[in-house]
Amino acid sequence: MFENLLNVSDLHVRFPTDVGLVNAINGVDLSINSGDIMGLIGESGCGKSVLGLAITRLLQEDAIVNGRINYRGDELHALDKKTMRQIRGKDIGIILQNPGTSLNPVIPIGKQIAEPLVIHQRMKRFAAMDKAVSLLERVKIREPEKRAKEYPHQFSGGMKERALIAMSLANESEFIIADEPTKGLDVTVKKNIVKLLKEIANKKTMLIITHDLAVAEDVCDNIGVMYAGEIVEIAPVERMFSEQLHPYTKGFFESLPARGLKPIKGNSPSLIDLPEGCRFHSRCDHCTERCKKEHPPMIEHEGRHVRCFLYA
Amino acid sequence: MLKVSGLKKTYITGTFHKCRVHAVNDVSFHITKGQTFGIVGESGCGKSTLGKCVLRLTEPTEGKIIFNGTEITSLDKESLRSIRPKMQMIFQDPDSSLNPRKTLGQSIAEPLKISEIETGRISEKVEELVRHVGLLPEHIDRYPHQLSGGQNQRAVLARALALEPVFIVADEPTASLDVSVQAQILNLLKDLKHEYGLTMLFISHDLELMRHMCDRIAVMYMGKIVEIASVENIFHSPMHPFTRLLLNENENDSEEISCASGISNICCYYNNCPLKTGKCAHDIPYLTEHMQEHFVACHNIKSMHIIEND
Repeated sequence: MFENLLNVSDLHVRFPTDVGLVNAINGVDLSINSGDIMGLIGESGCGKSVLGLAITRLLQEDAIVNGRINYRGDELHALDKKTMRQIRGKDIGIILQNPGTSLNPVIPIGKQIAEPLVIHQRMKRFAAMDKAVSLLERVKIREPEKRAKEYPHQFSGGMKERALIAMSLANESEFIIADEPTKGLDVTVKKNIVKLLKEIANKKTMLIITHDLAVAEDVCDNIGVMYAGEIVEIAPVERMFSEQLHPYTKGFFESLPARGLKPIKGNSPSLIDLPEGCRFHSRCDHCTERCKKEHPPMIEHEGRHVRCFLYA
Repeated sequence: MLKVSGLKKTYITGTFHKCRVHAVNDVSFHITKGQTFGIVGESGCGKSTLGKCVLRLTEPTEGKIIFNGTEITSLDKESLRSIRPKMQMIFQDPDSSLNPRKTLGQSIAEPLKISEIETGRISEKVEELVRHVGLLPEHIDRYPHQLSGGQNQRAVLARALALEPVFIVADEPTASLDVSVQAQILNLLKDLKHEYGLTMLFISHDLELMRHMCDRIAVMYMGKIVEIASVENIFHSPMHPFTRLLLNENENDSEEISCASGISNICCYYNNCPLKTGKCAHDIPYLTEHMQEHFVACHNIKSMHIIEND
């Protein structure tokens, strides 16, 4: 058993585009202990999904990745494609965004869930199909035998999400990455998916990427907040929700309808030419001269971490 | 200001097996001048269809809509056009409601061109509108793809306000925006509402949002309104079991909504209802006033209160 199951250090991801290099991730350090449920929150474009894809090496071919991603002692980005393929889907399960587009529309759901079993465990088709049915049952889909033969368009959004969760459970992966598992779902459906995630999370290590604070609060042990490609604050979930240290985190929490609907002024910075100094300085009420020039490091403050000079 | 009664919209789907889908089924409500009326419900419950029907962007199948004393359901195209400038709609996705080949300025000027404003004054008016919604004059010559979703939604607001409407239907205006941008846009919408003295129909799936935006709320389920009440009442004493579910009050493993077709003499919430009795299966509950200005469509509200008191 490794204490740090996943160790990401100084990760940078850049994408070349017509208008310049997009700095999607800028120096992310993150470690997840075995059995931990880590939540990553942030707004669209902050790089949280890219981080999930970088860990599983599913980024587009031309992405420039620097830094280290260590999973159980293996340097993931140094592995050859074949070994990576054995890890991905087997040791690391993934629940991708948008269940509507992550499933193959012309293959029955059951067969899609059985596929990783056939590939990774060399199960026979029939045995794999039986397992797929029991997985569907485990994610609480009624009449799983009948449903396994149906196609994605016959499933509702919530059921597709359940099917994806079933797929990630197929190989009993130790570590599961869930990218926006509740996006686009209705309130009542969302509640049931969260309940299911909590049941699964019981025995697994998970990285849950979401912009939904309620989901993060409900499921996760630790929360990391991302802004403009870096992590600006990490804390255990109760402490994060009782007090936010970074001005961005504060603003993000307060802009929620349930917490006052107070907006943060201004817009997120362009990832092509990032501002000098603190990435948040132009929107921050506590901005000093130092913030404009110097990029704040991760600072330890009362046992939690925050990237802000206020706590230096 | 606006009175809707018995509104129905039925779609017929299927090539071989014709199936009627009652997207909006016998909906009645009214909106007082200056108020924001919220419609909340899950996806597919018919709330967007209802919003479009009110403006006659889709033709309602049945029912009456009376706007400022005029019955707009029976108007011909000509007279409808004369009343349209007073009612505007804001759609969900700002990026797709702006013409990608027009600059923001051109898009905002579009409604002004057909109005009676002299051509010379249009650019002046556009600049004034742009400033009002918190954009900078430099944004006028930019294209939608060069701006963020929040900025585009501001432009959509400017365009909707161009003809000085009195009534606006906002259909999930922040569904595709991030939370911090959502807060900016909604605060702007609130300010503009006061400034222009607007009456609003606000459609959303997020009850929390409603608390900030609305005066009265209607909860929709499968094409029907199951509860109408003031914001305080919805939050403090919700009555219908579905409203209570939305507010997280009761736990139940509900099946997901399948299709709004189905049999007509059964309560729409029958399958998921924790309070159902035999009566609900053959007698549709209608909206009845249980407390002052608090309407609920459920047979078992009284019994629910008795259970609580025990």
